[in-house]
Amino acid sequence: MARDQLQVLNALDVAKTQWYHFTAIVIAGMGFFTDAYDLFCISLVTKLLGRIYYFEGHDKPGSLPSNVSAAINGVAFCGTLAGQLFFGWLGDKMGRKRVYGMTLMLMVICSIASGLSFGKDPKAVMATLCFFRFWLGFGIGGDYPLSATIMSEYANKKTRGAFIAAVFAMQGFGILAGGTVAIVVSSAFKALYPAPAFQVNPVLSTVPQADYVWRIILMFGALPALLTYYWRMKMPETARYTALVAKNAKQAAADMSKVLQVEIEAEQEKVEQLDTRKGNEFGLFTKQFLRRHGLHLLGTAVTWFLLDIAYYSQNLFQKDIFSTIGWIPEAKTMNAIEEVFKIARAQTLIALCSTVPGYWFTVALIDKMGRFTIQLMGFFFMTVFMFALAIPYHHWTMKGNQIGFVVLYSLTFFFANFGPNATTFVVPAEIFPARLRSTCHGISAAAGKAGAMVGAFGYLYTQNAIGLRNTLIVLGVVNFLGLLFTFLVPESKGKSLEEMSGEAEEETTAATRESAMEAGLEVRSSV
Amino acid sequence: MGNDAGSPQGPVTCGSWIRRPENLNLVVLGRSRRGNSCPSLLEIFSFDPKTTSLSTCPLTTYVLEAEEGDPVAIAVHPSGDDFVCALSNGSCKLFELYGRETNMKLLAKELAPLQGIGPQKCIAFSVDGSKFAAGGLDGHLRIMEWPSMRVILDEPRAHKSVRDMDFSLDSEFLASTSTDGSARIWKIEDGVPLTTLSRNSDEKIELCRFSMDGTKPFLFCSVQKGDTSVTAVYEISTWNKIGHKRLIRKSASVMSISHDGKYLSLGSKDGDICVVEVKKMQIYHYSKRLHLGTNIAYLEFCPGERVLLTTSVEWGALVTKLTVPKDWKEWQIYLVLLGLFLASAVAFYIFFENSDSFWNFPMGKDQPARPRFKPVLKDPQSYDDQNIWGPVDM
Repeated sequence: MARDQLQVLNALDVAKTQWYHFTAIVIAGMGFFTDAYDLFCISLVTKLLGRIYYFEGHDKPGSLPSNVSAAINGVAFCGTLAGQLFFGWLGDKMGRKRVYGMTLMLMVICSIASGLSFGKDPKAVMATLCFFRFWLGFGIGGDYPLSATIMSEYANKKTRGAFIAAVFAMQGFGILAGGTVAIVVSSAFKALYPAPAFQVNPVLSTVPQADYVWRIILMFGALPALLTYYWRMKMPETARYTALVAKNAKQAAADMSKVLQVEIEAEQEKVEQLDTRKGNEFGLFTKQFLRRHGLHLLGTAVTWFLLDIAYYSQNLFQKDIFSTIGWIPEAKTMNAIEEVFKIARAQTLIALCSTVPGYWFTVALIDKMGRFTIQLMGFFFMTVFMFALAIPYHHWTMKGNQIGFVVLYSLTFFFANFGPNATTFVVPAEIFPARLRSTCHGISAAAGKAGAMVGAFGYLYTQNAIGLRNTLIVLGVVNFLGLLFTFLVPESKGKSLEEMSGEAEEETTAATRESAMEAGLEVRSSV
Repeated sequence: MGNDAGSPQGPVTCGSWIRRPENLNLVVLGRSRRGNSCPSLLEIFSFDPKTTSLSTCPLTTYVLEAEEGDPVAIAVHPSGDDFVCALSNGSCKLFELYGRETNMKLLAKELAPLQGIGPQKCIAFSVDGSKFAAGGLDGHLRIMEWPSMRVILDEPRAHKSVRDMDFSLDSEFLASTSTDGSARIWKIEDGVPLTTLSRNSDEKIELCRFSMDGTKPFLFCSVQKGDTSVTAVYEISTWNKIGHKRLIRKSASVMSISHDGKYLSLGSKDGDICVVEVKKMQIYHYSKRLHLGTNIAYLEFCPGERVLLTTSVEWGALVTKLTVPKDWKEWQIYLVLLGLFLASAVAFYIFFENSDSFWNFPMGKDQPARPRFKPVLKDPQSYDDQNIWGPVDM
């Protein structure tokens, strides 16, 4: 067994057998798949929760109040932020490999627990659901950077780009899987327990067994997490220099030089150049960083923030939009389980036709068109289509025009994924100096998480306050701002990391020596 | 378990840890012949982490024939199922471990490509177990695929005489040093020399170990400068020297890296050992004269425990518990997580008890489909019964 495990890494590099690469893609991608399933499946069941627990009378079906809906949808993102900080600290302390088992077990337990949310009255069910969704997000927050780490560590040296792209695309499949599970479960329950429409019989339209539907859909999220755990346990510990794969070798060497004595002879010919090279040695909160990279960091963080406002609000609440314009039939014409089925079918169709193809277009073209162009084009078309929906809004609500609305709406998803959703992940890893790269990427990612929370909590309040048409206009403005801030981010296509971040070979060598001197170490010359 | 003067056993010449399933660690020791009454031996001992000691009796023993000579070096395959022993008669032998710890056996096999190749100073397996390398006293360097034994490199004049060698973490490079102080890097996939490490004329590179931490792509070398021994660090993407530091006070005779890459250990010719944390290159453990006045021949970190195995001709094999900061245990992390979980549970409960207005639940007795137990057992006709929505008298 141990011998077989050890052979896997050798085969990964030699690239003799495709089976190993497929296995590595699945194992690395299962983390993203699980994250996407768990984060987005809640939007499929919130309507059903409203029908079951917020029955109000006989004129219209129950629905969640804005604050409750925002809480249920958004509490997982609060957990994601907290988990990312906690497991990031823990990973630094004891190595990331040792904590990924914990994040996955946390995800398994909380997926099952959220389906088993308990209590003898509806208030307790909703409260415990929020509680376990928070901890599910906590585990996801820990798992996301670990999935990215495993992705970089198991990437074959020769086909790294394609590998990372395939792994990233697993997110789209996670969303697809959520919709598929909801379709299957709701179809089965609809066939087993026929019920009249709400307007026919308000009480009987929600069968008691409907309570199982949302629980099964949520608990199913434990299955990919368990598979991820099982497969990762079968993989051996990483046996490659991740610093080389992630192009952080210079950073590692600089850190090591701070604790060593540096030979002065090797640097002798560069002593006179020290003054001109000092500009490269700056920390995160310095004027030099601000002048050289401040706008870049602002650009990457703000674009990620703005993207996630639009992206997560559209993803989590697209069913409300479809109901409002009439693409999903009016709630009173369906029973509870039928509503889940139609919502899941609509969302899965959008994912299948827009989200997933968008990822693959990015994969194919990102090195041809460049990151800047893709992000600019993505934000531009998202803006155009959002305004195209909002400005003639009355036209789309007329009978027979819903398909046009849905097509334009799905195109915003396509250009989100063939656009900023992918590039905001790639660019921060490329344009900053090695010394600060992970910090800047973390800042940008945190801004993205903050945008997700704004999107999750802000959307419903906005829609209830100013209506759907004006909400769409707000999202269009958000996309337009993203387009403007894209101009702050430089193009990194075809450039080495050193060229992009302004580091040259000689400068790094001089910087290494200077950092050693700054550390107060003895610079020793041998006689 | 040192040697007594009256002990009938021969001196320990080499040893190694053997990692077994279920976090079990064994130790293999090689003993040379002493006179005519004590033959050369290979012994397997079990290691008790609670008492940090080896078992008093070997689990199994293998007696080498007189014409086979003495064991010179041992390399254990990462799978823990077999090991190769270099013998003083100029051949290498493969030994396979059979059975559980209660009835363990050693089975010897011949390795045809390694017969009669001359005395080997160093033998080693790559980290993934797919390569095997042998460096001879005559300077002949061989790299082979394992277990097929296909020759990757066969260089008769690699060095004046091989002093030390090590595989890189990703099995891409082999570093080897010579008794004349030079060091070379070999590209394993192509079987060709890649570069020679730079050094000053008064420096002799003696020992080399690749980093085992994936985030630190370095090669650590023990360099003798006059009568001072320093540890130099080379970066493996450019093979430039980053810097050096003096860690051990006497000349270093042996070097080892822990399996997780956090610690580097040096043993000296006077019997000292020191353990250094790699991140800060700071000494965390120093034992003076652990092997009093004797050259330490072998030194290795235990897989999974902060324990060192050291051997010398005079004092035999010793296991030393290291005084380094304890790593977080798994259960401690789970305890922290559980604490956070319970704390947030309390916070949620307090919010729950004081948040009626937040949930906005409508009042009313006629709520449909409230959760109840065993709804499938209900009679369908009972839907019209008004009692279904209220408490049921059992």
